[in-house]
Amino acid sequence: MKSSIYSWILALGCIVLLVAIIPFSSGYIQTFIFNTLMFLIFAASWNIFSGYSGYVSLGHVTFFGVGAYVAAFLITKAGLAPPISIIIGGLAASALAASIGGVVLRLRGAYFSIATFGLNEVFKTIAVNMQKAEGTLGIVVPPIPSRALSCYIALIIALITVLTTFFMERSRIGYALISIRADEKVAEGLGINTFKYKLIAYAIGSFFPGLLGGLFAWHAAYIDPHSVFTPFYSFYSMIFSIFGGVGTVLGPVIGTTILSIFQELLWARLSYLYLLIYGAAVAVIILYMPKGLLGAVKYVSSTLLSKKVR
Amino acid sequence: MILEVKDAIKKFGGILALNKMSISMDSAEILGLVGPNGAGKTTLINCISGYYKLDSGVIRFMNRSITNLPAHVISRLGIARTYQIPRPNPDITVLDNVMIGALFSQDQRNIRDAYVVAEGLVKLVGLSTKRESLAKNLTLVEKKFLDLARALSTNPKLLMIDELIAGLNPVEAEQAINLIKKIRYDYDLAIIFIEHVMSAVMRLSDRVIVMHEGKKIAEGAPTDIIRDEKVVEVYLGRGYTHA
Repeated sequence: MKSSIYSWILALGCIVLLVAIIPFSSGYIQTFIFNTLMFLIFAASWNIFSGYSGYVSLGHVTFFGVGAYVAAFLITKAGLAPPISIIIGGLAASALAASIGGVVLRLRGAYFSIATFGLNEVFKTIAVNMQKAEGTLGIVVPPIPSRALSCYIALIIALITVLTTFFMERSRIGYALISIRADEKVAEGLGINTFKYKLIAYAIGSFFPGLLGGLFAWHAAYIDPHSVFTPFYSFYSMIFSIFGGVGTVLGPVIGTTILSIFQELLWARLSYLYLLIYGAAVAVIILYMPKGLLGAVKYVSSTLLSKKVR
Repeated sequence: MILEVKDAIKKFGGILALNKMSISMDSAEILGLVGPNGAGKTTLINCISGYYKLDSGVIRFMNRSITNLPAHVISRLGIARTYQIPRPNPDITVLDNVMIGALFSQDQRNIRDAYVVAEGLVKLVGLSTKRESLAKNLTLVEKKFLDLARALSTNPKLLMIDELIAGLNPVEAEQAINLIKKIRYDYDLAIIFIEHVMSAVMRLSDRVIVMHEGKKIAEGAPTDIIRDEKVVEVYLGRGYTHA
């Protein structure tokens, strides 16, 4: 209990520090902060459904892409204010998740993963062939006034994502999801309407990448199908989350922060070898710490504590 | 009548796991379900709890048909079960395992109330000292009792126990038998239990049904059942009546 209070104080400290340094940072640092927060939102929102339920989605970026396109449309074609467009983009992503969830959430294991991956390719292809969205040419969006503003909005979305996870974990939804992860049939037998809770969590977890997509469109001032529906974002959502510890509130935050810094340092210094080293490091850690960094820390501290008692 | 199963048929490929199986039960009755391995006892429980869908037949519970309803609906109507191989959530504590059952029961409890219910049930099955242990660290026997507490947490009117006593040592078996008796009176439940330990069946059951190859081959008071020619033939063996 105490250690979790410390981690929350630490998290609060990081937020205050971030808020303070963003306006004084160089463009490079601001971009780095924005990218890290972006991946943090990806990982933390992936964790809400996939991390807690054990249903590994490989199509998380779909909701990012849909949010980006909806927001870009509303800003450019309907002339709506960007913040409102971003929120509608998030809601659209949630609505989409609720509807495709009706189909894909009936699949389990690898079938679910493949279906989510495949659906993303479907949405990418739709975007490519959509004349109104200029197809592969993409959409140019009036840019955000400043990079610092992008960072602040990303920080707010990240905070809401993590807080949502925190409250969800302690609610009926959280208990339903961990029961589903352990054994879905047994969960059903305990009176848990598993499909309902999966659908709710899937829709909640898709809201945040939807918001992020809209913010990205505003921030980058340009989107095209290949940049906002790229499966790499889905993979990174999963990797960062697993690295830090799935099914925990702070795991994805810690995983994303550490891996992003590691990646940035490697990339700047060893541009040829970086992916090789990065991949190997991630593989080794996932092999030896299947519950992620947070799981490993918890394990070590609990074994140390229990030894002290004896 | 609390439960009625009529002409239930369940096929797995070409195998008839349930072949026109029928049972009926009164509330607050303890029904022993015995029979050789593969007789269809667990399949029957799986069908009643909604785990499997029947190929044909009707299941009625408290005067309404529950045939092929989803398992979570059946659970909320008041049917709970344990598993032959206990299946607690291994990564959470004993108390949390039981709390979750209470949380999603038909009573619509909030989390705090669900914990209160769970504390009582964990104590009832004798796991109070292990309440904060992760379920994966329990022994098999403890897991069986945890499974039982979790089934009770859903506040059932019918409890189906799939082999609780087999595998327990004599002291634990005695505890289990006393526990089932206590549960029956304290919670006013109907209980179906599958068991191979005949001494426990004799002591607990008001009535025994013997299954063989998906059918009911005998039904009656425990003392009559062990003299039944057919039962001796397919299940108990010649030695039993003389013993």
